[in-house]
Amino acid sequence: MILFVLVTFIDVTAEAGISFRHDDGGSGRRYMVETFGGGVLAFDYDSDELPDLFFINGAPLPGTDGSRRGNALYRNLGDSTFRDVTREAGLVGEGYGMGGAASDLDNDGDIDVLVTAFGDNQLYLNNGDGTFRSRGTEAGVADERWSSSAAFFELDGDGLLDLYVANYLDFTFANHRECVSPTAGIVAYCHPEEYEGVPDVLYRNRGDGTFEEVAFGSDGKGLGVVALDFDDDGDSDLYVANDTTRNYLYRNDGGALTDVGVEAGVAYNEQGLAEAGMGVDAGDVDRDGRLDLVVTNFDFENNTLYRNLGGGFFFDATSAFGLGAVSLTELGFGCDLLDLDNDGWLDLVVVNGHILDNIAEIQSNLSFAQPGQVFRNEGGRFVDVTVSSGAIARPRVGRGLASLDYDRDGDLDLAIASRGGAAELLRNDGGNEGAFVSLRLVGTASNRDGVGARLTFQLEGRPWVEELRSTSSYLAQNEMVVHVGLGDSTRAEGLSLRWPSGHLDSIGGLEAGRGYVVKEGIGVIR
Amino acid sequence: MIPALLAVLLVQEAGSLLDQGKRFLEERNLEAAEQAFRELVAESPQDSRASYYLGIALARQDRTEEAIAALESARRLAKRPNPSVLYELGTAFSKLERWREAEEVLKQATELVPTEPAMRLQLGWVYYSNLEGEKALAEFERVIATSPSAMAFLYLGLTEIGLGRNEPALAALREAVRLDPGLLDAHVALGKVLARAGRDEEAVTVLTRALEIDGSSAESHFQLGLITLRRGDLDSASGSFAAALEADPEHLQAWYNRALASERLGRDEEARAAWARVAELRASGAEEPEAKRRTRAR
Repeated sequence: MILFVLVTFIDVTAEAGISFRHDDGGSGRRYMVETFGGGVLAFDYDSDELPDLFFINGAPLPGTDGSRRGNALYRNLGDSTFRDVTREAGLVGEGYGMGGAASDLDNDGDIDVLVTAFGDNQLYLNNGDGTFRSRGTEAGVADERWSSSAAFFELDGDGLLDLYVANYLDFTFANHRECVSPTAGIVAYCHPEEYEGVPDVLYRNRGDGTFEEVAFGSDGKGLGVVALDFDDDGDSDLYVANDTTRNYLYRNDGGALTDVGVEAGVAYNEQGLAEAGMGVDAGDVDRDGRLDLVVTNFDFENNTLYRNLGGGFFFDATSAFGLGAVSLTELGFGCDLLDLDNDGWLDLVVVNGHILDNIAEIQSNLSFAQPGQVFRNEGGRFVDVTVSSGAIARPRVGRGLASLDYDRDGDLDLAIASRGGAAELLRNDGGNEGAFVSLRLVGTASNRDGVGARLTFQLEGRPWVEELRSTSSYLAQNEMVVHVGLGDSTRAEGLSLRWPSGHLDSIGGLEAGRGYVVKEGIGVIR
Repeated sequence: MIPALLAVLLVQEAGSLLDQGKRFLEERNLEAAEQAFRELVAESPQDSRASYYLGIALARQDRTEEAIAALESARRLAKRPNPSVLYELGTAFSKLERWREAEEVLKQATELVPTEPAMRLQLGWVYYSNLEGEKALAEFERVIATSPSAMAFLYLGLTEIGLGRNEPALAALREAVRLDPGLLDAHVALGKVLARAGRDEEAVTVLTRALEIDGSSAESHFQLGLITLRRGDLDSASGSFAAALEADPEHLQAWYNRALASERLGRDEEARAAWARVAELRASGAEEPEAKRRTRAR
C-alpha cells in the first residue's frame, strides 16, 4: 500500500508545441454565449495508439472584427511533443464551437468527431488516412440552437453508438438582453433565468454516418452530460447537469429513457434546491462497487458528490466526503474523477473560472480567473492538496478539462481549455510511483470503442469498478482507455469485463506497468 | 394674550400627542401610534420629531416606502443631521434592498456617532447583504474592538461564511455562542458550518443545544435530519424532518428530504404525499430566496 505520493503538475504546453488560444468572440456587448467556451477532446485520431488533442474554438461575434481562428487538432508525435495538423485533417471547422465528443460511429476502426456549437453542430467522419470529411446537414445532427456537451453511448444495444446532446439556453443575438447587476449597478452577463431552456436531443445512430432524432422530452438548461450504468443492469444510463434547473438521471430501459433523478436523489442538492450544474463525472469514489456522481456548480454552491447507495438511490454525500467547505468561492466547470497517484482510489480535479468577467466589481472576494483544485482521495474521503499540486493551482477562466497519458509514462496528465485564454497541457510528475495498467478496448458485437464496457475486479480486498465512457467533465472527453491504479501491486488479477452487448470477458492477470488492448470475445490481444 | 395662550395650548397638545404616540409604540399598538403621529404632523408640520416617529410607526407595520417618505421629511426638517433619523432611514432602505442609499445614510450616522455599535452593525449588514464582504468585515471588527457582543460575532461569522472562509467563520460563531449561550441563530449557523465541514459529531452537539434553546427551531431539526440521513439512519432522519415540518410546515427542504427518506423506507404513501407538498411549494415560489441570491451573485 502506497501511503502518500506527491503529484505535481508541470506546465509543458509550450515545449509540447501547443499554442492554441480560445477566441470567445467578445466585443463588450456581453452575449451570453461568449462566456461558456471552450472545449477539449483527447482522442487518437490517427490510430497510432497515442492520444491527440483537439481544442474547439469560438468565433468573432457581432461587434468584433477579424476572422475565425478555427479549432486546433494537435497530433501526438510520441516524443512528448505535438504538431498542429488541423488544416490537413480538415477540422478547422466553422461557426461558434463549444465542445464535442469523439468515437467510432460507423465501426470502421477510426474515431469520428462531433463538434457542438452555438449554431449547427458538425459531424466529421474519419477517412482513416488522417483526414476527416464533414457530413454537413445530412448527418442529421445539425441543430441551430445552442448545444453544449454531448455523449456517445449505446442506447439500444445494437452495437452502434447513439448520441445525446445537451442544449442550453434559447439565446440568440436577436433576443440578447443587457442585464445590470442589481448590487453593483453595472452591466453583466445575464442570469440563465432570463432565457428559456432548450430541450436536449437524443439521436439514434443509423450506422451509415447519419443519425435520426428520437422523440424525447426535456426542458432543462443542459451543460454537462455523462453516461454511466448507475443501476448496474448492463445498459448505459445518462446523467445531465442543468444550470439552475433540476438535474436529470435518465434510466435506460431497453432503449427508453426515463428521468428518475428526483426519486433517486440526484436532481437537487441535500437542501432540495436546484443548483447551477456545469460539469459532471461518474466514478466509484468509495470503492463499494457502485458508480457515484460529481457535479460542479456555481460559487457558494458546493461541488456536489452524490453517493450511489444501490437500489436506484443516491444521497448527497458532499460534506461526508470532505467536499463541503472547500469550493465555496470557486465556480467549477470541468471536473474529472481520476486516479492521479495510481493508488487505486479516484481523486478529483476541478477547473474553475467565473461566468462574469467583472465579478470582482460585484462581489469583492470573488475573481474571474480562479485556481484549479486537486482533491486527493484518502480511502473514501477527499483532501484538498491543491497547494502542493503545481501548475493546476494557477488562476484561469477554466472550462474544459480532459485527462490523458500523453507521454505514456503511466500516469494521467491534464489538458485544459480556458475561456478566451491559452490552452494548457499539464504533465503529471510523480503519479507513476504507483503501479498501473491501462486497457484500450476493441468491441466486436458492441461498438468498436467499447464505450459503456464495465471493468471490475478486486484490489486489495475491495471492489474496483470503472466504465469506459466517451465524454464527461464539461465540453470535454478523456482519452478513451480504462486506467487502473494498482498501488504497489505488481499485477491486476481476476478482471471481468462486461461489454455493452452483454458479453463477459474474464481476464486472468495483467502485469503492471503497461497498456493492453482487449478485444471483445477474445481477451488481451496485445 | 390670546395668541400666546393658544400657542401654549398647542404646544401642550403637541406634547400630549407625542407622548401618546410613543406610548402606543411601546405597547405595539401601531395603528394608534400612526394616528397620533399623523395628527402631530398635521398640527406641527415643521416638527421633525413628528415625522421621525411617524416613520418608525410605519416601518414597524412594514409599510417601508411610506416610512422612508416620513423619515426623509424628518431628515429635511431637522436643524442638524440627526443620527437616529439616519439610522432608521438606513434600516428602511436596507429592507427594500436599496443598498447604496442605505450605505450613504448609515455612513453619515456612524460618522456622527462613531462608537454606536447598532449603527455600525447595520452598516456592516448592508455591506454583507450587498456582497461587499471585506467592507462588512471591517465594520464588524470595529464594533468588536469597542463593544464586543454576541450579535457582532454572529454577523462576523455570517460574513466569513459569505466569503467562503470556514475556519474564521467557526471561530466567530463559537465566540458568539460563548458570549450568549442563548443566541439561537448563532447555534444554528455554527451547526450548519460544522456539518458542511463534515464535523458531524460537533454539529450534532451544537444543534441539540439549539433545540434546548428553542425546541421549535425548524432549521435545527432539519440540519439534524440531514446529518442523521448521511449516517444512514432513515427512521431518525424522517423523525427530524417531521419535527422541522411541525415547526415550519412550509419548509421546502424538509419536505424534500422527508420525501426521499420515506421513499427509501418504502413508505410509499407518505413519500407520495411529501412529493406532492414539494411540488406545491415549488409552484408557490418557495425557492425564490435562493434563486434571488443566485441572481444577485450574477
